[in-house]
Amino acid sequence: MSKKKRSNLGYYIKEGVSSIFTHGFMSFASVAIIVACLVIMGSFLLVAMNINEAVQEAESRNQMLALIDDRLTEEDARELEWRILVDPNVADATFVTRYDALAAFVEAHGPEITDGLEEDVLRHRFVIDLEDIALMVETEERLLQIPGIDEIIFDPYIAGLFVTARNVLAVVFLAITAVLFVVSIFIIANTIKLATFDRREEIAIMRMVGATKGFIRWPFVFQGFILGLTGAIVAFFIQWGIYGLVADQIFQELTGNLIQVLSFGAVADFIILVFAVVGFIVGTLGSVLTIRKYLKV
Amino acid sequence: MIRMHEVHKAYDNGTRALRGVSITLEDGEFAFLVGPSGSGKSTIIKLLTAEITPSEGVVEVNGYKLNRLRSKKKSMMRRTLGIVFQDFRLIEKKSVYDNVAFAMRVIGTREKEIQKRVPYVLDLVGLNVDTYRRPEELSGGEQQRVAIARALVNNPSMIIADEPTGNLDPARSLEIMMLLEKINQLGTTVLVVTHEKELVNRFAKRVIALDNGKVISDGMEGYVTHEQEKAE
Ligand SMILES: Nc1ncnc2c1ncn2[C@@H]1O[C@H](COP(=O)(O)OP(=O)(O)O)[C@@H](O)[C@H]1O
Ligand SMILES: [Mg+2]
Repeated sequence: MSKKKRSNLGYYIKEGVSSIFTHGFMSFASVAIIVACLVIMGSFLLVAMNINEAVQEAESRNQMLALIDDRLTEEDARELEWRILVDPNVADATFVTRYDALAAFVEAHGPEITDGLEEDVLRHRFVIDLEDIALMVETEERLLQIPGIDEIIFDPYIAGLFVTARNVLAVVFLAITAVLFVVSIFIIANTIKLATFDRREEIAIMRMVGATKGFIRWPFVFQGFILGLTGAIVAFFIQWGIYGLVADQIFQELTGNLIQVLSFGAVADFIILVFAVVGFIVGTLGSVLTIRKYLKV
Repeated sequence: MIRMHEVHKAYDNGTRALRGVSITLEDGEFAFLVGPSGSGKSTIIKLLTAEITPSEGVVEVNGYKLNRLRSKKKSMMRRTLGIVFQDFRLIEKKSVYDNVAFAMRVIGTREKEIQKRVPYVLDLVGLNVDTYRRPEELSGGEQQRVAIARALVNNPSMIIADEPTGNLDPARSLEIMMLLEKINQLGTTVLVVTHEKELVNRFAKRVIALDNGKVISDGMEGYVTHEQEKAE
């Protein structure tokens, strides 16, 4: 009974691959479905990542301007800094004189814009960085309590928009991913079911002569695993192509505007990892579920 | 070796296929299991190969108690058995050689050992055809020899054959029975299921007769039917 054993890994892979080719159409169909699912999922993921990036960008840029009462001297105005800094939502406050502010304004919009204006037309101001842009309104109310602060200027709209978009997208992304996950597992399970059905005579003989459960099942696990991973790799390249086209378009239209598009290179590692993990889980789970149901020993 | 003690089998649909069967077959024995269609012969074979489990009673094969066998043990038990069916069950797309080699490959035997063993077994069963031919190119008798070679290739201690001559003409049937007898003489336990009275009575062997899920006779007096049993 103590015959020498050979390693079966090569056999499992070989059988798994050959089963993929004997069911060329089903294999193609299941890879195609997995690719479609992954690309849809990946596209949402990329949009979400970009929005998230934009939110972070907005957060880092998101500043309020606190305009100081004209009647205060520059020294008195500077004195307000510590009172602003004690606010819990203030990360930093930088004093800008009315002259510096005007100079910056001229630089941004051209000299003509200030024609006929006095040098001290603007007010002294603090540029305030916030901890949390969601709390802008509350922060504004508190800062206005400080004597000497005339007015607070900020744009709650854009930051709010991004935050909402990010949250909505997260929910949509999870829902779509869940559905696509189930669809992919279902198609893999069906492909494996077909393969086991096709080989039922061989399987019956394997059982009859005493092949182990693992020996009978592993080729089908590998089949599912390879299909899932193939889907992941194909999806990655398609995603790359699509993203390149769309991102270029957005770049051309919106450069310098609200959105800074992430380059694919910056997210490629992450995307291939996500695709590989999802492909692996879908392929393996799909086949294991079928095998447990149809390949009893 | 087979030990069945007071075995009952009721299928899920309520059919009571076996009603208290006790059979013992020692190592090295040869026995026919006979009985009319529906008497429970195949049910016994399925119990012995652990396809199904008994509803009641004890089944033991080659030292394995089959009532509650884990998957791994079940595989190991089956390696001690060679099983032959009426319909040969060869894989059509594999050659004769590969059909036999397959049984060794799937239990993890090395290719070198397979290359030595397969020709030896094909020779033992008296198959004189090109081994790269497909089963469909062979006669029924030749196909059954391939199936017997496959059953023998892993060197089992017992061969179980369910109606092995059911699809063969009388001359081929006799040849196959003689082959099984020869295999028994080489030391393998053999249990042959059949309902062919003529054939059974050509051999002076132990005959276990089954009717309606019960053993009605067991001995050297040939094929006994229910009517004969009642007449005595
Ligand atoms: N899977 C099954 N489910 C229900 N009844 C079955 C099943 N297999 C066999 N039977 C019934 O059990 C009885 C014995 O069948 P079987 O053992 O195949 O007889 P034999 O091989 O002697 O012809 C028959 O009445 C048959 O119809
Ligand atoms: Mg039968």
